Amino acid sequence: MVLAADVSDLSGRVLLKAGCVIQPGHLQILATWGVTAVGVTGEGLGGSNPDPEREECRIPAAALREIEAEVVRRFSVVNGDHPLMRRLAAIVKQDLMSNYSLHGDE
Amino acid sequence: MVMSEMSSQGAVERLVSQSPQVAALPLIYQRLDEAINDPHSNLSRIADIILEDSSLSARLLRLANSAMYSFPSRVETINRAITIIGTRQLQDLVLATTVVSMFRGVSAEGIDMESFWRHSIAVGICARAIAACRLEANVERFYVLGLLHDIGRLVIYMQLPQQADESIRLSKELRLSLYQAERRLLDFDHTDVGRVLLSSWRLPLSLQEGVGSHHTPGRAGRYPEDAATVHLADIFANALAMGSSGEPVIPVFEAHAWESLGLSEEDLTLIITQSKAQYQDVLDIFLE
Repeated sequence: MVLAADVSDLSGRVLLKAGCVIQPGHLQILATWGVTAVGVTGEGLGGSNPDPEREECRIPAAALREIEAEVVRRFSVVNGDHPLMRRLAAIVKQDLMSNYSLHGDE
Repeated sequence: MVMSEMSSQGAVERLVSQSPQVAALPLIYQRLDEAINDPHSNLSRIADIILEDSSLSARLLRLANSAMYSFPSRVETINRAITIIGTRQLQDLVLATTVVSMFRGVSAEGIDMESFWRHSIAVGICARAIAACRLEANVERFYVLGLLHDIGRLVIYMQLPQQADESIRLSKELRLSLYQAERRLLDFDHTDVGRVLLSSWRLPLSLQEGVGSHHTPGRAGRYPEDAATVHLADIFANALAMGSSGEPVIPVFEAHAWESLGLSEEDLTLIITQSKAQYQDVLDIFLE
């Protein structure tokens, strides 16, 4: 993602300039100074955000089943129908898939 | 208060009073608290108190230079750290640092202390990220709140190791949150113990209530948003398996806690991204 406009803190100091490609470290700077939303153009987090569907295709079926079973286990006592829990479960699944892609089943 | 609540309150107070290893906060925190609350005090005096403990000073400077802040230039001195982070905020970081140091010298059977602190730090970081998203004035207060949320569980492990093991077994067998299993076995749970311990340390009521109601934020009287913040931070850290304090699964989720904070699902992504980015850095500083 690319910043559509300059981002300033509450005192008007410019933190990031328009056109800057947002990297994970920038999110920390923004959060530190209380910036919760910015205007962006383009897609992907610094070009490195994995596409979940593509990543899912690359993982062996057996490993994917294990990942999904682990997500179900972790969420076994919470209300999984709540939108927040559904979103969190998707993040956890993505996290486990990325971990598998990096380290395999070690 | 009904009779059974009075007796369980008495049992919790006895449990805490029988834990001399954690009876009082380190002297340096008390001196710092006095100096900050003294209207005649100044920044140099506060810095001098911190500098008397070289290990604490080094940790604070590492924190000031960590991913938690990402300041554009290096923070070289405690005076500078106090100026840019804030006196109260630094006091909270001193509290976090001294409590972890104090408990790391304590042994408790049946618990993986490293994993316990990894989880506690993760909840602190998630709570801080939630607070930052909500533009809270002092986000470090939320870091401390998250860090201390399960401190009562350590006291139970120290004093009642068999019951602590049994409650984990029961929670797995009956698919309960661990605090529910503790309550069945003991008539109280780790949130009650944490609240009483923080009260005995004379820490602010907001911390006592945030810790004491983190599994039941709907019951928090004066500081419901603090309890809601740590409730959600605990769920996020457990979901991502960032350490463990013994809870086998994500604890019970109270939807109104999320709704009360006025955050969006997009905020969740930012909170998780930010927390994961800071986690390892802060872990290295607190657990080395």
